[in-house]
Amino acid sequence: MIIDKRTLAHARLALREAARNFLFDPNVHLIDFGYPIQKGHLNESELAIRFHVREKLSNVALETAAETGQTRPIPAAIGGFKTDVPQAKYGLHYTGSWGNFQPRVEPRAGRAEIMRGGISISNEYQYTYGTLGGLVIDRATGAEMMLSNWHVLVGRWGARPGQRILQAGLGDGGTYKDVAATLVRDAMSANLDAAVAALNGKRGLLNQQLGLKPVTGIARAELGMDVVKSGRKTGVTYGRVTAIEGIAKMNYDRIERIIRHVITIEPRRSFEEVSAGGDSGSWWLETKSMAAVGLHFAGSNAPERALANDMQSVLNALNVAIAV
Amino acid sequence: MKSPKEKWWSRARKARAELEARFLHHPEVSMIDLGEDPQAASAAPVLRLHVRHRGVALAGVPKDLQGIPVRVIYGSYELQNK
Repeated sequence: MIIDKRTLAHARLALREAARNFLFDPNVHLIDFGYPIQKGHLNESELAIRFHVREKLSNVALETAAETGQTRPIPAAIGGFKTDVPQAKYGLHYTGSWGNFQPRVEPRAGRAEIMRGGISISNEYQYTYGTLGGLVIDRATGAEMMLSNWHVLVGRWGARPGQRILQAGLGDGGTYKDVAATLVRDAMSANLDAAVAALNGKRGLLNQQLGLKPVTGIARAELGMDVVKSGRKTGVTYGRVTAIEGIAKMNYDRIERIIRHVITIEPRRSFEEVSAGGDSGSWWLETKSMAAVGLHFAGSNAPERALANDMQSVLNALNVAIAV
Repeated sequence: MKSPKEKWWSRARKARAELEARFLHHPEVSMIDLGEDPQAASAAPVLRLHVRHRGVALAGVPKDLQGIPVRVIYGSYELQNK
């Protein structure tokens, strides 16, 4: 079933209302929007707000529980949608015993023995994280470098070449044991939020983007182009180029700077997310060819938009080439 | 959206530079770009002035520059490290 945008918007409002009134009910495990269960089967021709309860109570038991304040009867409809009350118990999917329990490390947030684009990174002074964009080659020396943003790798006006770069980033628990590179140069003087750091040789960096195919080269962003990125915060997300050749004003370490060669990316469909805080430094790639078109650096949530620097301008300013 | 010819882009860049000189210093303006028409009235790209707050009225914004429509849209952007 294809759900149109209007229905989805109404469903979200109804879900909000349902969550506000019932999610703290001790008998309610989960509230979602989906197919109702009728006679033991999913009815895929209808949609409902579903209240997954730990225990489905008989009418008498429900009245008693309601009178004693243990639960509340669920209305037949919310926000114009029918309700459904399936019984379900959910547990966390971990393995092993509590004695040697190891918290699961999100692959983008943790230290990677073999690095690739789309994972956590920061400089050594700021307790933040951004995204390691990918592998580039110094056109002058052939040295392997990582490309990300000025505000991820440099971050402060007083920073100097040689500043250490951590993977995972400090904001993800990285320490000095996780130094992977050192800052070489940046492109802020060319009005671009970009910088490169030389790998220290302790860990390899592959020409890959976590969750995507390898980068094939470079392309110019064009209006209407479908693009994809792999970022530390929101993972793999898709978007569409809706504007190019932008000039933006942004605050860097308390100083306003002009950023040029800006590409604007918006969701392909309403309600999709394109980026969030933590994705800075990721590379936007043309979906069809996997060629790099932009270096992500900023965004807004309402409306959902991502801003990226034109990749060709970034590479020229930093005198590097994408390693393919 | 079909991309216009290079001649159009040359004119659009001139218009954008003019808009930049006139409005980029304004504290309410966050960005200027060339993109899809939010009003969907123009098949060709338009000049877009992004402002930091919804409903802000900027004085003296022309309807078009060099024949390219100018739109004021809401857009307040943050760096996306965490």
